[in-house]
Amino acid sequence: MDHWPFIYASYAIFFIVLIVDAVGAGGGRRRLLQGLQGRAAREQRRSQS
Amino acid sequence: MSPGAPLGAALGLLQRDLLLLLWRQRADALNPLLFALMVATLFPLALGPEAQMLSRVAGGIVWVTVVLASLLSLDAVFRGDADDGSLDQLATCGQPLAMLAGAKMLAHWIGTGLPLTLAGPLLAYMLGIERAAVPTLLLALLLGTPLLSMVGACCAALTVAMRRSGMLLALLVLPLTIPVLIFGAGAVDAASTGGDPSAPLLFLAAGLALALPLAPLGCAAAIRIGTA
Amino acid sequence: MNRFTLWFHKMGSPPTFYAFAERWRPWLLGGALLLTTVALVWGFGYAPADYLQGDSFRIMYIHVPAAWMAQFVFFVMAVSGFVAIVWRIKLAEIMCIASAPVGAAFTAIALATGSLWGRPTWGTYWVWDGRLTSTLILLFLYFGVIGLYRAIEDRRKAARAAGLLSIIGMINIPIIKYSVEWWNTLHQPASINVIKGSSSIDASMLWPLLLMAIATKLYYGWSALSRAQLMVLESERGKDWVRELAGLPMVGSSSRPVEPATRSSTT
Repeated sequence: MDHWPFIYASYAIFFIVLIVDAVGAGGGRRRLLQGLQGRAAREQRRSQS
Repeated sequence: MSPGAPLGAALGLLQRDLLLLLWRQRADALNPLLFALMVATLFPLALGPEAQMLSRVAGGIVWVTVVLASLLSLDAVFRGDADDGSLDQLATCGQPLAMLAGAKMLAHWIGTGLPLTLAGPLLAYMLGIERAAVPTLLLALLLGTPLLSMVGACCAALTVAMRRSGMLLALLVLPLTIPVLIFGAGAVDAASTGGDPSAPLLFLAAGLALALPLAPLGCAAAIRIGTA
Repeated sequence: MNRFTLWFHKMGSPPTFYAFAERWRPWLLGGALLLTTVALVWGFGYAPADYLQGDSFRIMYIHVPAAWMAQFVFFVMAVSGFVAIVWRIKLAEIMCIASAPVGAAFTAIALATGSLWGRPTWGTYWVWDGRLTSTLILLFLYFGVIGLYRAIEDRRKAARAAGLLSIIGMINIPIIKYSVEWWNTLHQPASINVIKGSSSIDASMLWPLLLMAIATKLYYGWSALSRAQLMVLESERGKDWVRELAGLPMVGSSSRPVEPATRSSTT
């Protein structure tokens, strides 16, 4: 049985799963800070109206 | 605080819970047994009535049934107290919460685990288990059902903070009960095939010895987290 | 108070922790990527083929570090959960929860790659032996911890509840570790012994494995610290230092006093 497809698949799984994890870990920061800015802007508008 | 007060408090709690469970709500008291009976009946219907095959898996079926039936009554362990505020009272009354948690675990075991232990051999007979394996089944259930009650109560305490915790409770408890299932069913399997069941039984006993002091502490910690 | 204790106490403060994490993140990720590249090129291309298994043993360089991490991360979660429950340190709660997704990822990788490794070598994708079953249970426990955290409203209570669950789940770790000794099993018994210094693997095959072990730990550090930073920002969002980070005017510093929409939580 040719072993190489299994080897490639294993390495691919390793990288794909960890890249998904990396996106989840590192990616949310900008969204979070933008969300805070958005929230602050809404507060401003509400307190000024 | 008088000496013996913690024990008295725990016994009082036990008495109240048993009264509620076995007398006031006695219509529901048989539910775990009925559920076990029905689930045990499902297996021959699904797998086919071939006697030899059923006899081989009888021990495993009984164990799965017991685990599921024990799971069903777990939510009720703390739900009633959480709803009417008694849980907060228990947490702040000054008695050791671990002892009170232990009383609740014992109540669950008396109401669910013990009947299932006694009914287990009957269910196994229904499924055609090897006669020689029945004492082992009884002993394994006797050692394992308290474990199920104790671990289950810890998880029930963790999820009592939530409203619709039913499915999540099952997802939390089942992985933790799998070792009990493996050793319990393994013991019965060993006895059915003429082997020596003492190794899995000893593992169950070891687990019980470990859980008896630690599980009430864990349960108390869980209650404190929920009521803090 | 010695230096370590002082450092530990300082780390309990969210802005200090955030700055610490911000400083170390690039190094952790960079180190992980570098070591991974070196180790996998070495293991993939240069290590000799195993005389029994042929080339499929190269999966070991993924599978074994992933399995080690699966257990290691759960252990870290249990320890930080313990610290969180006993001392109610907010950062301990956060570190516990921040570690869970990576741990689950490594566990899933270990199970999947183990399965792929088993097919050419043992002839089967799966067998219900002690180690595989208990690792599957570990994956369920990870999901349970994550699920419990998401199901409780109060974030701090949720973190402590999830932490307690990971402490209870620790019982599974010795079962995984010793399952290959307790039961006759298809899975290979331990062949690496760091403490005794003797291993039954040839050195030329061993080094990439050790490098991957370090690389995965560095990656775990990056991932957990990153998630922890996000959680810190979320939980401290009313505080001045977070507003400064987001480029917002601080509370009370503009001409018209702005009422913060959220009350900052008391530590």
